[in-house]
Amino acid sequence: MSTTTDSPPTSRSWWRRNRWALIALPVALALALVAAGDRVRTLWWEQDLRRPTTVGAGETAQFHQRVYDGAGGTLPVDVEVRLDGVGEATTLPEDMELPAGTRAVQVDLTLSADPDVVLTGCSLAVRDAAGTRYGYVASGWGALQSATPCVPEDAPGPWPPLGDLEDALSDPDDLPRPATWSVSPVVVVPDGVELADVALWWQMPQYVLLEVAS
Amino acid sequence: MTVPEPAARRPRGQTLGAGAAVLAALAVGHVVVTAFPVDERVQASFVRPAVVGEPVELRYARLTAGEPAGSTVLDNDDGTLLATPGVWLTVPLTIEVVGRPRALSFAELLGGDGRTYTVFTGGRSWFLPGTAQPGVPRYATVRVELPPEAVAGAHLRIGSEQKDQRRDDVADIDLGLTQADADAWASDDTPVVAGAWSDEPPEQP
Repeated sequence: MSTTTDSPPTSRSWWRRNRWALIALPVALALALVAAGDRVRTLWWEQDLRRPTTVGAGETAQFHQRVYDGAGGTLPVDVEVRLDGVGEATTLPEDMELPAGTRAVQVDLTLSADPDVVLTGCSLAVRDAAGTRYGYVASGWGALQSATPCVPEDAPGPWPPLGDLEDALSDPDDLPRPATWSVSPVVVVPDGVELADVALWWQMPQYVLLEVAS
Repeated sequence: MTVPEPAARRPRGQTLGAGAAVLAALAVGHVVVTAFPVDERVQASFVRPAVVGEPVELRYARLTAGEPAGSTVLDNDDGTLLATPGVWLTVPLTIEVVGRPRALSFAELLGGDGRTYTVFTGGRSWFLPGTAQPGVPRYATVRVELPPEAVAGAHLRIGSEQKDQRRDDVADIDLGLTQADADAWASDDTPVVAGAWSDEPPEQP
């Protein structure tokens, strides 16, 4: 029979004794940060335009996104977008009266998508080089433009599902949306602003960024 | 044959000392948290003082308050009049939003009587300037129904979000009102006009 002699604890033995706690420490720290940041996505990341699909002037953007449908599911947005031009609006929307110090610009877009794709919930803005955003306003300055600036007003295509109300509210005589179409929404901007790009989005943070020809 | 080494035991004094250190740390943390109102300071609005006629720069807009007016009768500018046993206070605002289109929706009046008079986006006391485009000044009028004793020394607060002003800029406008203003308005039934918002500057009287 033999016995071992006691030796004083060393710093090496402290690290060995606590190795599992030491390994768990950074994991716990990471989990604490994730738990504390649970609202970053909904309260910050999804509250602005942050993920562009960028194309140069005259090029066609292929845009894909899954957007919330408001009923717990998601819908695909698969669309091609081309900016044909941004210029002074030659004809103002009916009854539009421009405030002093402003001008109206017309954004000419050509889009293509499968007629079954829901595209009605889009928003549009033009931006200057500093990134200031001037929004498309459907009802403003006396005029009433289309509520959805990216689809034909008379053939907007399908709307997000409405559950039991769908049959009651859908009109079988609605025109199907064509495979390719053009729209020309009008945006009111201050005089003297030089526009750099056009932003089109369905749900933030993703958006189509179409550069304006200089 | 070897005898297994018995597990090393931490001395009792060291264990008690570690426990006491943990309790002491918790006690110190509690004292720090309760002794200093950290939460309130972290969440407090950034109050930007202003006076009538001078623009105040906020994170989201440049705001200028015009000359306040008051009476016992308010003209909605839509053919209807509203009377009050107190006074109607109206303050014209010029709002120049920055960065992107924005709809300011928070307003409240800190009365000279120490009370806060809430202003809604609907109802009798209201403020609804709509969504303004950057670079296009928006003209809107705040209207507040309040007792005459709240007029003198009143401050108007304007902010971005009606429900939550924490950690964001809020303009605090000293309206420069006196008891003489309150007395004059409380005995005046000439309607003060508070119409809808516009992007055209209001006509000067």
